[in-house]
Amino acid sequence: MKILVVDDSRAMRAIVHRTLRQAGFSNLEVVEAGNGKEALDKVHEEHPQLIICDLNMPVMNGLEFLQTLRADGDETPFGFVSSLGNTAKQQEAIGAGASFFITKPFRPETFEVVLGPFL
Amino acid sequence: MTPFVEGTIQMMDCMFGLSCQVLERTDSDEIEGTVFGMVPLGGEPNGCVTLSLGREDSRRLVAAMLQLPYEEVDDELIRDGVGEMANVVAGFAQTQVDPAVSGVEIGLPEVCVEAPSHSDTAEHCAVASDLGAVNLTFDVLRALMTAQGGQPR
Repeated sequence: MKILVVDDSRAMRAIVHRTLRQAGFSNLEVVEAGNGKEALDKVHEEHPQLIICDLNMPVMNGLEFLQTLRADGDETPFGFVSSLGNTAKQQEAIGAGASFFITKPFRPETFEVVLGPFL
Repeated sequence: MTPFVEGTIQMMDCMFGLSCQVLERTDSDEIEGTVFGMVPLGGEPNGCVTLSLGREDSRRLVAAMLQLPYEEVDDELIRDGVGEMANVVAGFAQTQVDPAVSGVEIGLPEVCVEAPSHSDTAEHCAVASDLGAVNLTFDVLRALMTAQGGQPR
């Protein structure tokens, strides 16, 4: 299964990748992008089955990326991993079509529970 | 200061699996900080919270964060890693501080390579672990003091 991890921080992309392994999701191919615009290209090239995305990013943020995907008719399961913990932002993300919202800092157990239905 | 201290402890636990202890610091305790994560506080009172890490501590922590050998962690990775730490701590604090009640809005962190100035009334502490310490400076009066002719450093 292929997952697209989108975050402008290389450190956080590595942490998400590591946490996926720690959560027991070992047979994954992880592709990465540094912002929403790059991620749109990756979606067209790589056809991931799940997208895990940050909210705040330069060039194109996570919400704009999700809205563009859905406007194009792409229904790939999509969720946010973000440090923005306020509920208004989470509700906006879910309203835009996100399937889940994981708040940083997170534990492997959270990934296991939240991502389990998708992987 | 408590939400930021709690956020730092949570961050050290979740991202590094480290248990920590909170230590007192004073303004005169020098830190060879190479990277500073500054979290602006808007509203009233306003100011900032600064995370500062000494060079070797930050390198060890980022190496652990990325599961990379210590010698492969360069300055760019350190800035990126410390920025993420500040992001996580600020995000946790956001969940603990209701702007409608406290009047304080926690902004988006910035990473700086030079120490941000702070006022004489700033509070300091360190969240220490086996791999290194994250030092916190909590300065809610900086903007007010500047407006009143104070001498932020």
